[in-house]
Amino acid sequence: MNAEDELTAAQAALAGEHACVYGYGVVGAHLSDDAETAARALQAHRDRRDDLAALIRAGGGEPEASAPTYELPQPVTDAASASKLAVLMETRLAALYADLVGAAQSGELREFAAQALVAASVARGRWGGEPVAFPGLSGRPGTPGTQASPTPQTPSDTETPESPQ
Amino acid sequence: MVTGVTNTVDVRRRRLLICLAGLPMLGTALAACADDAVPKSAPGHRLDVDMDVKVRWRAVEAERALLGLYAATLTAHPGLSDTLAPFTARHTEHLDVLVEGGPLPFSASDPLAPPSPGSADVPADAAAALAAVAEAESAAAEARVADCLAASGSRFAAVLASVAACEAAHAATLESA
Repeated sequence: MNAEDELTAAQAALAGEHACVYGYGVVGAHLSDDAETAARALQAHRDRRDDLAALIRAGGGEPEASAPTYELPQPVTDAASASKLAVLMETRLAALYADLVGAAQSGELREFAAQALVAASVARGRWGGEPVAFPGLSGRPGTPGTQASPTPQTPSDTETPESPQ
Repeated sequence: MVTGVTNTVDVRRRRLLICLAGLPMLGTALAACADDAVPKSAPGHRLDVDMDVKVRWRAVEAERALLGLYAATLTAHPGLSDTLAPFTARHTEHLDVLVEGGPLPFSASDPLAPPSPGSADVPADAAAALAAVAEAESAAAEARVADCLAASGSRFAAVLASVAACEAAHAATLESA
């Protein structure tokens, strides 16, 4: 791992946060009972997005901007499909942060990534995702991981238990 | 590495030529040559490795303690077995992976031996027992994040962060159960 890997992993996680900010807007619109939960999640991801952008800038990088639009991996029509999207987003985000934990060159960035991985795992559970033994790591650690896509633009890259078939 | 070896060889050859040039003073010259410090192969990140062994050992002990708590809780509350079985299964996975990471020199006991229940105090009330397990999971998650920051191996750090993430989700799930 070097500075280039670190920046690549940080930008990927940032892209994931951008996608989550977009996605939680959609999720919140379909939840009447859990609208407040979705609003809190949206704010949490905005905060983390801004913190990560600041960390990237502090490291001399230029934080990537969000995409103009995102394609949802599956249609969101009701509360159930909205929760499903939230689980999928947190699952993918956990993988991006696990990568960043491994790629981080500074203790500050590693800590940020580790806390974000924990937060994504807890959020995933709150939206109904079954706990897994190694959030963010594909299968058992030690086997090479697959890079999860941060954006809902690539529905083919859904190597998660919650992915639509 | 290759460059380093080449340099070393060149230095030694040069020293040998100097020794031969100084033939009249063979005795002292050869003595000097014999004293020539041959650079040993770098010991690697020995300190880092030792550090990670300690971190791994701490994580293994914590997993064993959690499994012991689950076992004690199930002994006191057999009715919780369906609820808690998937949780203990995930902790067993953690323990397996942490133990597979390499030898643990401080091992006094078999790290994979079944945990002994009974060491933990389990509340008589089932809900309170679950709350106690949730609290232990939460504390373990915090400790694994700290271990993640202490780890030098990047892959190992990611495993520890992932274990912490699982335990934090366990705590949240048990709290809302």
